[in-house]
Amino acid sequence: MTLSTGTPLGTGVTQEALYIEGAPTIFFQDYRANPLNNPDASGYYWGLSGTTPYPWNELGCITDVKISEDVTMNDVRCDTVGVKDTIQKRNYVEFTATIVSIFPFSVLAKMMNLSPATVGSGVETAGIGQINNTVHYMMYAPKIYDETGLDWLMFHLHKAKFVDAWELPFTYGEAWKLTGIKIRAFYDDTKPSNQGFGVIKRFDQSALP
Amino acid sequence: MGQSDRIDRTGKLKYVEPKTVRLPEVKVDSESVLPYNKEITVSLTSLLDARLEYTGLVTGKQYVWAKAGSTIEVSEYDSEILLAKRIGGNSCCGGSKDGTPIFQITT
Repeated sequence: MTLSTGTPLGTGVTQEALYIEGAPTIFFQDYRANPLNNPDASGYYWGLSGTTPYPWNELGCITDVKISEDVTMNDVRCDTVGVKDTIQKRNYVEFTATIVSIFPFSVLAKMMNLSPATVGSGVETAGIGQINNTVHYMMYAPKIYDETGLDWLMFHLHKAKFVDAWELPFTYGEAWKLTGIKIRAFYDDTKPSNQGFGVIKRFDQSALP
Repeated sequence: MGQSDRIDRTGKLKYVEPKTVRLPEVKVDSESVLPYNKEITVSLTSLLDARLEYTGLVTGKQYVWAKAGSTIEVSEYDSEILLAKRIGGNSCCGGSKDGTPIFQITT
């Protein structure tokens, strides 16, 4: 007698028993630079390539990382039968992180929306002024989940900026942590509509032969 | 002129009238195109996305790069020290142990 599993009949796909632990590394680069793949053979825009005017930056030592989205959702309600559907609209995709490495100021100034840093021999300075709302970045977050098999995935967000108020608590006995950092990606209308916010991509030769 | 023509009967050397050789005239520039005291400079481009202000340790000149990608001419005497400057030598997360250079030479 076969085991009763309740599995439906016909064609279907089950998910893989593969679990990923740990945060991706987060890089960002000025939006005015072109992505590394601009586009790739499949038409996707992703990856960073540092240039002299637009070098990439890495968020150092991050904790409490998550990616999330904001969606406007409205029910289609007919008083005769109730809710017949729900209309959804994606507003933005957002990385949230806490950053323990605060140096150098040339990178910190971007995360905290400060003025561009001035660096000299033995000194670096950044002003706390009004926020420049015209600055946008590409965000790129790769995660290697099998170093032996060279399997990895990545998130690429086309047009993002650092938003919301930051906090830098000076807690006794703890490293300084820059909290409240949100990297919000908006719809980039220069990209195809199926990838207006970004792209996720996975490389795995064994699982994707 | 053969050897015998230059020796008289007594075996002494004869006096020979010297020939006049006219050398072509050589023109000399009144002014050199390259003055000897011209300062040799090197084009350095900023790789750091910040305003950079450095004083040349040899010449004492102040150099300012407005942003990443800015290129200015610096004295060759100062260039070596500037090119050796690196940032991120204490990288937290897998960066280069020696840091990354702040400047590169632009040709």
